[in-house]
Order: sequence, then C-alpha cells, then structure tokens
Amino acid sequence: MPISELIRSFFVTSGPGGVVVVFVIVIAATIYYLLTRWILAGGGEEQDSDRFN
Amino acid sequence: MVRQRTFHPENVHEESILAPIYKISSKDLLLWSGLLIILGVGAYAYFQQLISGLGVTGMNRPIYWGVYITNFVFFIGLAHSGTFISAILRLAGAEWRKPLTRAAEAITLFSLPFAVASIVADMGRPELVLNMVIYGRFQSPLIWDITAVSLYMFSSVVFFYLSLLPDIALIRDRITGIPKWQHRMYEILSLGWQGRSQQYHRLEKVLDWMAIFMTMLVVTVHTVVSWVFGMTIQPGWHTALIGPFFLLGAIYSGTAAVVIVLAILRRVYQMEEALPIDLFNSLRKLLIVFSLGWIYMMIAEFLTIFYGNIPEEMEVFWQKFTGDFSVIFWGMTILVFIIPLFILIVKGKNNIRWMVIAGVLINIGMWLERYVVIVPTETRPRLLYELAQGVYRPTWVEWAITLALFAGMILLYAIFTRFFPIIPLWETAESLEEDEQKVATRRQRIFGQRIQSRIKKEHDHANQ
Repeated sequence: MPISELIRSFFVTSGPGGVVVVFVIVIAATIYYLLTRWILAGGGEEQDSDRFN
Repeated sequence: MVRQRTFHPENVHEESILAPIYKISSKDLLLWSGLLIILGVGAYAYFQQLISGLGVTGMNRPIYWGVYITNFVFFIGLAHSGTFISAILRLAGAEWRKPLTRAAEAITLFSLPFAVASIVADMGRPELVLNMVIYGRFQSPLIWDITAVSLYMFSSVVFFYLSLLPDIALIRDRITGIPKWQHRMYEILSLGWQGRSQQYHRLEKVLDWMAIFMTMLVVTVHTVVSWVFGMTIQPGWHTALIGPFFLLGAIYSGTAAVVIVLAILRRVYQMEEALPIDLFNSLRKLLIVFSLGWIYMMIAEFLTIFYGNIPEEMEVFWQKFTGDFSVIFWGMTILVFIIPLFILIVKGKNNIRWMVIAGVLINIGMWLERYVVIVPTETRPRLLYELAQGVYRPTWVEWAITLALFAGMILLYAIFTRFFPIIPLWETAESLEEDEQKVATRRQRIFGQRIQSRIKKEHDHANQ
C-alpha cells in the first residue's frame, strides 16, 4: 500500500479518531502524574526540621 | 517514622476563610435538599426520555439540536471563567486575581461535567457516546470536540487540584473538631504535602507552565465547539467569525458568573475583608471591555450577512431580526449588551448589588444568545428553507433536565465551599500580610531568591 494511501485511510476510516482521543488523554494523565510526583518530591533530599525556626 | 513539621504561609484572613468548613448549617441542608429535589425531577424526566426516546422532546426533523445543545455551549462558556481568571490573568501578572482564582476555577470544574451531560441527554441513548471512541474519524468535528473537551476537563481538574494542595494540607494540620472521616479525607487528598520551599517553587513553576497550556486549551475548546456548527454549510453558522464570537461570549458570561458567585460567597460567608470591593471593580472593567467586544462581533457578523444578501442566509437573518425569533433576539441583545453596559458604566462602580444584577442579566442573555444561534438556523436549513420549515417548542422534559443540570452544578459548588477554602490561602498569604518587613524576610526563607527578586521588581515598578 503506498504511503499516501495509508495516510489517507488514517483520516477517512472510522476508528483512528477514537484511538487518538484515548492516546491524548493517556499522555496527559502520564505527564500530570509525573509533574505531581515531581512537585511533592521537592526538597525531600534536604529536609531540615529547623528550617522555619 | 517521625513526621516532618509542615510549614504553612500565614494569612491574616485565615480564620474567616476557613470558617465555612467548621459547620454545616440548617440553611445548607435546606439548600442542598431543594437542589436534590430539582435533580430528582430531572432524573425522572431523563428516565422518561430514556424509555420513550427523544420523541418526548420538542426536537423533530429538521431540528436535532435544541435546548440540550444550548446548555452544552452555555456550560462550556461558563467553564471559561476559571481558566480566564486563573490562567490568562496569571500569565498577565495580574496580582489582584489571586483571591478570585479558586472561586472561578471551581465554576470551570463544576460546569464541565454538566456540559458533557447535556450532550449525553441530546444523544437519547447514552451508550452511543462510546461510538465516538470506537468509530471516531477525523473528518468529523465531533471527534475534535471530544478530544478538546475531555482534555480540558481533565487538565482543569489537575490545575485546580494542584493549586488546592497546600490548602488541603493546612486544613489537615490546623482544623480540629471535624468528623474523623473528613480529617482522613484531607490526609489522603493532601498527598503528604509538607510545605517545603522546594515544593512551593515547583508548584509555582508547574502552575505557570500549565497556565500557558490551559490558555491554549481554552481557545481551542470553544473554537472547536463553534466548529461543530461552523463546519457545516448551514446559514448563520458557516462563518469564520463563529470561533472568536463563541470564545468572546464564553469569557464574557464566565466572568459575569464569577461576579455573581463571589458576591454570594462574600455575603453568605462574611468575607468582606478577604474579597474587597476593588476586586469587583477590576472585574467590572473587564466586563465593560468584553461587552464592547461582543457587540463589535455582532455587528461584524450581521453586517457581513446583510451585505452578502445570500437568500438562504437572509431567511435566517430576518427570522432573527423581525420573524419568529425576533423577541428572543432583541431580548438577548438588551440583556447581554444594552442594560449591562449601562449598569456597569453608570451604576456598577463600588456597587456589588448592581454588578450582580448585570452579571445575572448577562448570563440569561448569553443562554438566549446560544439558543438564537442554534435553533433559527435549524428551522430554516439551507436545502429546505423554501420547502419545509421546522418548528421547535421545548417540552417539560427538556426544561426539567435543563433545571436539573443547573441545580447539579450549584449543588456541587455549594458542597465544595463547605469542605474546602474557596479563597486560596497560600496564594493570598503574601499579599495579605500586615508586617511587610517581617513578610519580606520570611518570603526569602520560604520561597527563595527567585520569587523574592520578582516581588522586589514588582515593588520597584509600582513605586516608579
């Protein structure tokens, strides 16, 4: 199958649109999860209990 | 394991901001019960629709979109308030926005599920939603819609939750005398937040990044929603202006909704000091600008159609100006533009009551605007405008479901304000402190050099 036909079929066939929706949400979820972990880990390695005294 | 001591920035208004969390009054229960009854009636109406099909609504060929889709566009519009106030004003460096952010973001958060519910109600059979995922194809603007709205809803939840984290931790550590389950809920939701300076640094950074992304999303979402109409060749819809027109209207009604919500919170929870009149005056200026922008779009849109004089377009045009929809059309123009602009300019300054009246009128008008964009075109579709003309009268089922959607949104909002601080404590802490020198020293210790130099720069700039 020529590449142009493959690309065309991606846009005109039913199905790929739904895959992209799911893909976008999963990517976003992964990024947000990693960002949240990164925020919470901030300063963890240099904990100083007297910092605010 | 020894638990680390958690730091919380100090806020002089902490007591008044946290006061609503301590008790659920009988008035709350009364309000919640009333809203639940409306929700119950809506659920019954939806059940009727589910059993008998969409025949119980006023929709019929050629009118497939009525009140439900009007609600959908309206809720999406309301949802833009949070992103506008929080993300766009954050990027613009508007410091006055800080006390408003959470109240505005909560509108976003609680509007979007009901926007999605409106679509499900319009589909008749809810399981058909899955077809969008299973058989989704790029040629359909609906798939762009699903992608954009889902991502927007998801990102809004994360944006909202992250900015809430330090305050949940504060409630976890400071509030006593609440039920055990409630305390446990705060423990789980705070994700072990300890208020370390690095955590605040990173949180600020992530919120800045997300603000950029959310700003792009907010434009995308409402543009894509408008393209569901604009990508057809129906008269009144097929115009390049429809995207920006929808977007501007959305931000306008969303900002008006923020005014209403803030005024209610200010009065009910006695937050006069935490929500000063200056905030309302700033929102008033924004609303004046948006109202002028909105009328500009209206004139540009209808003048182009009028001079184009295309028969199919003119059929819908005259329906709005002098025909079946003229009362709604002119009523909408008066409610969205004429009266609010007069109120905002002449009466609104330093007067919250007048601003709330303007906000309510704007929102009623914007709902009518969505209706008058959608329905007249369907009653006179391009191919049938001479042969067949549709008639649409919404039935009690549609009105009951509509009321239930609004009741659901208000209910979620009301419950939220009883469990979480509606004014961000940590974000407003810096600007609400009394002793500047004390605060400056503490800021440097807590937020580090980067934030401190930014604050100093802003201070110098203000003094010039």
